[in-house]
Amino acid sequence: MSEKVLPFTVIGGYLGAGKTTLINSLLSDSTIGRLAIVVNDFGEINIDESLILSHDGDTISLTNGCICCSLTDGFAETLTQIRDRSNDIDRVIVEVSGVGEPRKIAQWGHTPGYSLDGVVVLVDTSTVIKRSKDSYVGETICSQIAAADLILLSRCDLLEEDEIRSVERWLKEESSAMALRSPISASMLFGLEEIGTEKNISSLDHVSATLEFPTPIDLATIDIWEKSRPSGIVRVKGFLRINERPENSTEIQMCGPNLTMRASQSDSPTNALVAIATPGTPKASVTKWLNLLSLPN
Amino acid sequence: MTVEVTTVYPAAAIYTMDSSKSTASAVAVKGDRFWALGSLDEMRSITNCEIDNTFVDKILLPGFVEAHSHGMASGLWLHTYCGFFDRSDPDGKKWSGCKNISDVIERLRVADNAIQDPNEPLLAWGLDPIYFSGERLVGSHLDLVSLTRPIFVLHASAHLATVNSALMRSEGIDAATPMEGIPKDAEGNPVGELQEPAAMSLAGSAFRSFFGRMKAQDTKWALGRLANKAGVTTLTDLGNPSSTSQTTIDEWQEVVDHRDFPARVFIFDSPAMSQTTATNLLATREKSSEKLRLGAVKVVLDGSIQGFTARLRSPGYLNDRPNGIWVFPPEQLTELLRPFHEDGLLIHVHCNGDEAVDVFLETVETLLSESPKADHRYTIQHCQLTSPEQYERIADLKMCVNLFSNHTWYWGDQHISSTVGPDRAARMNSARTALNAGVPISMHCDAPVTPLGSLHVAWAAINRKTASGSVLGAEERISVEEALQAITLGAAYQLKMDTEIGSITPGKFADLAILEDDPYKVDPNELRDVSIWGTMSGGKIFPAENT
Ligand SMILES: [Zn+2]
Ligand SMILES: [Zn+2]
Ligand SMILES: [Zn+2]
Repeated sequence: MSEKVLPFTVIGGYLGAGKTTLINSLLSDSTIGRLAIVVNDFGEINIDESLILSHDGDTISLTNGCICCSLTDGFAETLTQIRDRSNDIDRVIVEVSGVGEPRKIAQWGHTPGYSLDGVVVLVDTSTVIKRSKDSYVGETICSQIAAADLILLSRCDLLEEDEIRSVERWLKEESSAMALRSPISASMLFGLEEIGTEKNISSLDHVSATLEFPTPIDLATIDIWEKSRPSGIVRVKGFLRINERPENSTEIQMCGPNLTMRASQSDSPTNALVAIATPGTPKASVTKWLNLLSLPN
Repeated sequence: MTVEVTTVYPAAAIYTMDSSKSTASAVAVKGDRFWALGSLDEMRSITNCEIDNTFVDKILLPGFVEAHSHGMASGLWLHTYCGFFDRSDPDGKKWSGCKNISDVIERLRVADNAIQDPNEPLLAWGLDPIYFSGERLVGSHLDLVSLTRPIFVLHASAHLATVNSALMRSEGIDAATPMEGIPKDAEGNPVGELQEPAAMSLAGSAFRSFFGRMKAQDTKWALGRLANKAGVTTLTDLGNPSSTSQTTIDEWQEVVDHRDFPARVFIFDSPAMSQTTATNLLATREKSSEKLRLGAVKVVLDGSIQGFTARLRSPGYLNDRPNGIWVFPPEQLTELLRPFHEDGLLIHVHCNGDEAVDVFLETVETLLSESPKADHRYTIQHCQLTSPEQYERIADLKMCVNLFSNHTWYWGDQHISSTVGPDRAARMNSARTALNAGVPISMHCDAPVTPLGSLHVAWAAINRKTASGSVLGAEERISVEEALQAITLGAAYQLKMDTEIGSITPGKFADLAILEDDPYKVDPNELRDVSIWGTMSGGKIFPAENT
């Protein structure tokens, strides 16, 4: 019997970027399933008893601190507790402190029993450029942005369209991550769409397409396919049979531009992917892109 | 009615640290307090007194006060020591430093032979390969110790561990492990280094037992033994996020309040890492006893200089290395501290870099202008790179500093060559500048970061020698008198315990450091070698060899 693997999402961003708002909205979204949320204690989360394991201690500072301040096994212990209850949980979300390093926290997502699902970094669109030049916290903000897979722009409603565009241009220079205007659907944030459950019409908040492949695929083909990703693609997930890795099926996970492949622990027999794109992306272009994988190399 | 006996202890010399009577030749103790001070003849007139000659050839100082140490300082000794410098364990056994890779292998072989159960992991700590020349120590070196027993060696920085192949095999760490912080060789196999806590936690059961064992109650008793051997009668657990939990308090009380425990312990909370409110902390403070103190605040603002994570002002680290990190957001410090400030709770903040000091000074200035406090004793912990101008501001705000003077010895050479260069390294832990500005100082060891030992800390501030033997920042040296003051009354002042401890003054707790040699008469270069006979805590004598 294979063990359950919990998707592990990191939510980072500087103070006031909207992490708490995002987490509260995820908590009220019944489509996401049962969440374990490890929060930064200085935030204000509407804790909804049984669904959430709040963390009481030194979680986030653990990875930043040094021996004198934080030599503990606190975060590892929290992850063990969550894993022990994995039958009651569908997904883990870790909120990084406002000055924390999302990339470092994300490494915990590779702990056995978990699967890193993406690093989401929020930015306050109305202040981010100014704050990125702050002498105390500018570098912290820039390194958070650089560490993201997905950037979510908050407070766009306070700005004119051309102001938002200039922030988006600036973000392109700072990070290879995909920047999306908040709010986005949970489907895009987590890639909730399951293979085969695809709705036959594109929904208002996202576009998705699935494709099943008849034969195993070469690594070289995946390489070419990855590089020709159309602009609207936010997430891809699924399992592939890869010629070079015949022993087990490979789990495919793409969040923004970053592709991860790992040996599947659940030995799924499928050879199929689902891709999720921003609203307005032509579904044909998504399908066409997935189709590149079935072309002979 | 029985009258309590007063015991009079004549001594070879008594240095009181009390400015109105700095020396004496006998001290009288009644119950847990100093009762009188003077010559033996003066003492004889005390009613119902007994003379005890135990210290007749010893030198008495107030018990040393370590205002920045951590409760875990003793727990690491459950594991095998592999550090570069010689170090003594809680039982007084001296462990020689491991000067190269073969020393490390030899040390681990001995430990391996001593473990009966073939599956029990071998756990070790303190490894400091930056001092080793030549090749880097990796997992294959540890394989020379055992191919079957998992081995986990935590480095001195605590940011990484080296493990052997048996451990990687049993925990499934291999070429396919996707985590960052696991360096791989040319063939793509992990070399046996696990960097940062996430990677270290992959060491699974070895990682869990490394930290799990350190939580045992016994380690608190061992902390007392470490203190006793160093002449320390008051020490701190500086930053414990669960200090307000009744379980934590009960566990500490069971040990510290025991009459056989030789020291007072002050536990600071870390509200930035817990849910502790000012109301909680005030209530917790009420649970303090004479030996166990509770109800103060510690916040960590930045990282460390040797780890390149402290926040520095321009010109920053050498070679344009990026600035360090904030452990707590600078913008939120005022908000975090305000309720504790309003309630008059004692607040200490870890600031290694000079930029972190600026943030703390701005915060204190804001809080004091909102709500003035006459006797706040805000203390900057570490305060290593602080400039003379900052010291003027610290003095204006009536703040204190607790300097990490041991840094000169342990990392001074690295500070010259790789962190900040010789010019700013010379002003690190600038005790002279602080005293000239009128800032109350203490100095600390930050055990377990450096060994618990107040005389070493004082020696480092007096001589400012690096491990390679050069003098770093000669102008910042202070006198023996100033240094001894800093590790006694100076530290007590920062803990707001100066009316109870820190000097040999009638009415204060009878806490003594009992020395074999006179610290004012030995060569100041040898102060750290002065041997410690033991301590007195609350009137009870604790010879070092018996604890
Ligand atoms: Zn410390
Ligand atoms: Zn530290
Ligand atoms: Zn510290």
